[in-house]
Amino acid sequence: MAEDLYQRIADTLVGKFDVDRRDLGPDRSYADMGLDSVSIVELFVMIEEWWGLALPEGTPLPELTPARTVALVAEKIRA
Amino acid sequence: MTPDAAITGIGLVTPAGGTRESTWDTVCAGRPTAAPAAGLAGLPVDFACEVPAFDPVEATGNRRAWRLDRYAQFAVAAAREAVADAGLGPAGWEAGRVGVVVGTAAGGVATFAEQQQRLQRNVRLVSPLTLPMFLPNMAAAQVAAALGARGPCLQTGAACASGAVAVASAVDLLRTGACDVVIAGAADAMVTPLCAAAFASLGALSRRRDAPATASRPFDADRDGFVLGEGAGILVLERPATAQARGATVYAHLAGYAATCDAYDIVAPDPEGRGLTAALREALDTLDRTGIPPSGVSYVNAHGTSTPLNDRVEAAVLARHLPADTLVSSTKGVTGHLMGAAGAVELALTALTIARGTVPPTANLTHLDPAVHLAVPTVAQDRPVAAALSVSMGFGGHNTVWALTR
Repeated sequence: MAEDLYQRIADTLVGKFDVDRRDLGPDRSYADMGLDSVSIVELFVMIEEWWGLALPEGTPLPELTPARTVALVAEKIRA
Repeated sequence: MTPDAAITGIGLVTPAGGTRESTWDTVCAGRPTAAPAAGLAGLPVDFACEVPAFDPVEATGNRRAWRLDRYAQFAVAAAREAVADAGLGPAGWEAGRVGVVVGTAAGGVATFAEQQQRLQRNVRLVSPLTLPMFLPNMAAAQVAAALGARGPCLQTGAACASGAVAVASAVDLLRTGACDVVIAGAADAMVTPLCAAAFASLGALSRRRDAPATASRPFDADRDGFVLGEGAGILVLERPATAQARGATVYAHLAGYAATCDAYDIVAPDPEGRGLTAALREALDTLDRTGIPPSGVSYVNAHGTSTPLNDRVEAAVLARHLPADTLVSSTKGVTGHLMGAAGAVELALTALTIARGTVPPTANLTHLDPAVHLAVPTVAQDRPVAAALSVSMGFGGHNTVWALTR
């Protein structure tokens, strides 16, 4: 599941948010990959919709990385 | 008196075609574009005039075009075509002297409706892009961003006269000296279930579900309403002296404009056409001061929506003030009613009529309404046109008349 989710995030970053595939990295923050604040919120709206869950309020989204996002979603699904 | 502005570039995205030339060809061929619309299936009126095969990424040159509502995508696509047509661009202009005025009747209504549905499912699903996509100024702002235009950036709203009003605001920016170039026009994308249901509820739409292609029939005795359309028309405007100095090709000049409000009813035109009459007289007076009398007006691109009331009132006013041999057509027979974009698209078609010496026909006109005393061509006619008018009217009682010269 973690690999699938990472792949889906990576594909979305490239396909919808126009991130260069060379700039992708599981441990790079979304801000470092060039997403502006609105794009990051939009990405998390998509992620919450895919998995039908709500990430914790106050999560510092711009500093999050794809790897950390995958971990957060996995925690939520287990809980 | 000299004209206020020269039209040096035209970009069109309409049901008749995704470009200026494809639109012009379809309009001159008199080929209607109304057809069943997938998005309106199951509604009382389930057909419309939609922009064919529109690829937002390609048309806007923006890989993140999904962040723009369809109406803003149309505006950016048309603006790019218009600016390229004018031979202008960020490399050759002083960005702070370039203005943008884009009108719209509705803004990003499809986005608004979609996000309202998401809100009803779960508040967390509401997109942060809702407002930057929906707001009515966003077509103008996205055009400015796409082209790097850093002068005044405005939106106009006058329902179906929004495009005509946008061009008037643009001419003011040239006249006051605030801008050297203004990218002006309008865009709307109202072929949505809510808009179609709302217009049907008003009784404004044609119900010709069995033969949608024949539904938009301006000035025809059997007309029964307008057909909802979508698209954008954008013009590049410059002072005539500036255009001449850089050797630009000029389609036509904007020589006179007048706007009035009926102050009568929010949806129906004044049955006496008093507001339209006042606007027409003032536009003709302005034209007269440039040396062209009303007898010099050889073509009118009418508002001609195909509703029983609009066409009757408009035809009566035009017949009273123009020579009997002035050709009058409504290109809405082909395109349907592009809402706020209509005024800009039709102004562009009027400029093309002057530039090319071809008067476009009124599609679907088989039996001229006996109450309409106008010369309405049903096939394109080649003839020199030195001066022409473009009429727009909108909910709220807005009336506008533009006079164009060669």
